Amino acid sequence: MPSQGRLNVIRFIGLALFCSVWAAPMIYIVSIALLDPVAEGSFLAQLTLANFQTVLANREFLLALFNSVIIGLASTAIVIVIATPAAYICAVREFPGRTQIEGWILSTRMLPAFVVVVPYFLLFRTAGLQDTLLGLIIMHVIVSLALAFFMLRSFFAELPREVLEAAYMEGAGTFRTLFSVAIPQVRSGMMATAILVFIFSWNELAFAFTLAGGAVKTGPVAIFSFMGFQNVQIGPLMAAATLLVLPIAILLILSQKGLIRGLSFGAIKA
Amino acid sequence: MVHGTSGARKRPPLTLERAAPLVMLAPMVVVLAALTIYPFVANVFYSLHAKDLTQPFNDGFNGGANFMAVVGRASFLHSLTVTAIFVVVSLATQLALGFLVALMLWQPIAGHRLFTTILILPFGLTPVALALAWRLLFNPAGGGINMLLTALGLPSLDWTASPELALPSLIIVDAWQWTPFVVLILLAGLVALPREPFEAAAVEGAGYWQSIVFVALPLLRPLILVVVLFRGIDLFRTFDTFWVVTGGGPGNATETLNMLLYRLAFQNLNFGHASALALVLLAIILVLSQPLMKRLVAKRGA
Repeated sequence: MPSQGRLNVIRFIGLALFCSVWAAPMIYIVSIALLDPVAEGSFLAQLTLANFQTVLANREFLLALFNSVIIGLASTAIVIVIATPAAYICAVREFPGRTQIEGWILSTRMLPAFVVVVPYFLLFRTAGLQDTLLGLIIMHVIVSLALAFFMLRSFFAELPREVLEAAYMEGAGTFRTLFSVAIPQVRSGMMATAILVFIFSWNELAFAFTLAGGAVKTGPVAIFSFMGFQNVQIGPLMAAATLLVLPIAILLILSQKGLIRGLSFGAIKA
Repeated sequence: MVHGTSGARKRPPLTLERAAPLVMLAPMVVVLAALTIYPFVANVFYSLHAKDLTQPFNDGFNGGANFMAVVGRASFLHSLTVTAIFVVVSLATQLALGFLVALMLWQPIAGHRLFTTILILPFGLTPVALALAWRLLFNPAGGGINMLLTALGLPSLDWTASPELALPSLIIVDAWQWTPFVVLILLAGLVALPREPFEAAAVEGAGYWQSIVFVALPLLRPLILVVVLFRGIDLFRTFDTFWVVTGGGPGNATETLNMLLYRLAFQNLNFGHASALALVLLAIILVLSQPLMKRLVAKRGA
């Protein structure tokens, strides 16, 4: 490794500067949410939970968060169940057409949301799926199916071949090997993948407000109810933003390592 | 390979083993096909028909009229330019800045844990929530950024309210949200690099920057390829930030192809035009990503 020697101090100052810039908007959100702009006195005297009380009294927003949880959990379950076997077989076995299928899966990630939205908007209207939980669950599967496939594939590809071969020698078929050998070994990678899939569903806006947004709102859609027509109530708005990002922040920090490894899609050989 | 090993005691039924790829891929392929091929085919169909929801009874085949109407309008060229600037400048900024910060974090340093914990957050936090905060921060009258500039004795700027600064503002927001992600990916790549090439370079008298440019960068190429491909695709598709922070404005100053597509579909309700533009946008993304994808998939084949 090249040595930077006495550059350490400059390095530290540079990092502190960059990271404060990155932390600033997050601190801004929380401080607007927690501080009373009118109150005077010390920092502690300005602390208030009034904004959070306003948000928590808004049943529509709470219901939207609940919807987001349901849609997130359901779509994540579907994505993991169907992407896992596909990712496994592509990672461990060579078969005709594998490269083509992977190329096609990758290319589906290039579809801009509105390429999908326009036809589904018309289809959902006739199929009665418009403004339903089920409709959004289906759409959120597409948001991260390809991503989950490539993340899982990279975790399976890192499994030592000897382990899989040993299972085969014991008489386990491909399916048994997947369930009793491979999956337990990549549990943390699967967890990271599932967390990321959930996050992308939780964050998703384009589908959520074009294909639903009336009776069924998700968090990112419902937050606009704090925008108002005349004046934006920035206290409650930022309190709602805090509630929207807080669970995600916790998930991200918990799954840090696996996320980074998975998101490099096997380009990092650990 | 798991297969071809002789001497297994209880070999599972061969037919089932042969069919394993098919069985295991089927659910994924079927679901993905249903969710992507249908919209694609439907887009092709709508793009060739009049499909204006304000004129429901006029829905016949109209040849390439939708494409002509979309590509021919001045706003298409404008949106194409805005998109190109946004994608290229964002990609360059995020890669350069991301690599620089990754280098700073490469070797042990006090506060490493705190720094990486801050960096893991921006890319995953709900874009709508962050975009709303940025909208308040960019507010020309009393927004946080202008207050900071004033405090530093610098002139206030109009940011999202000015046609010239609106796009740079959005580039800043996207760089804020995604550069940390690039940092962490490149950092993970740097940490996993073998030591020997650097030691060899040091023996030959290479300085710090020389060993970065001639040793680290070439070794990181596959990873940089992954970042460029996925970041590039997502930059083309960026919607939330634009919709919340500028809504494509002021005027149409920040109307990317994606925002134009949204306007054609959900404000003009002309789904024929929207479908035609959707296909054009998809074609642009596919053509541009083709060379990168080829290398990526070919590499995996090994």
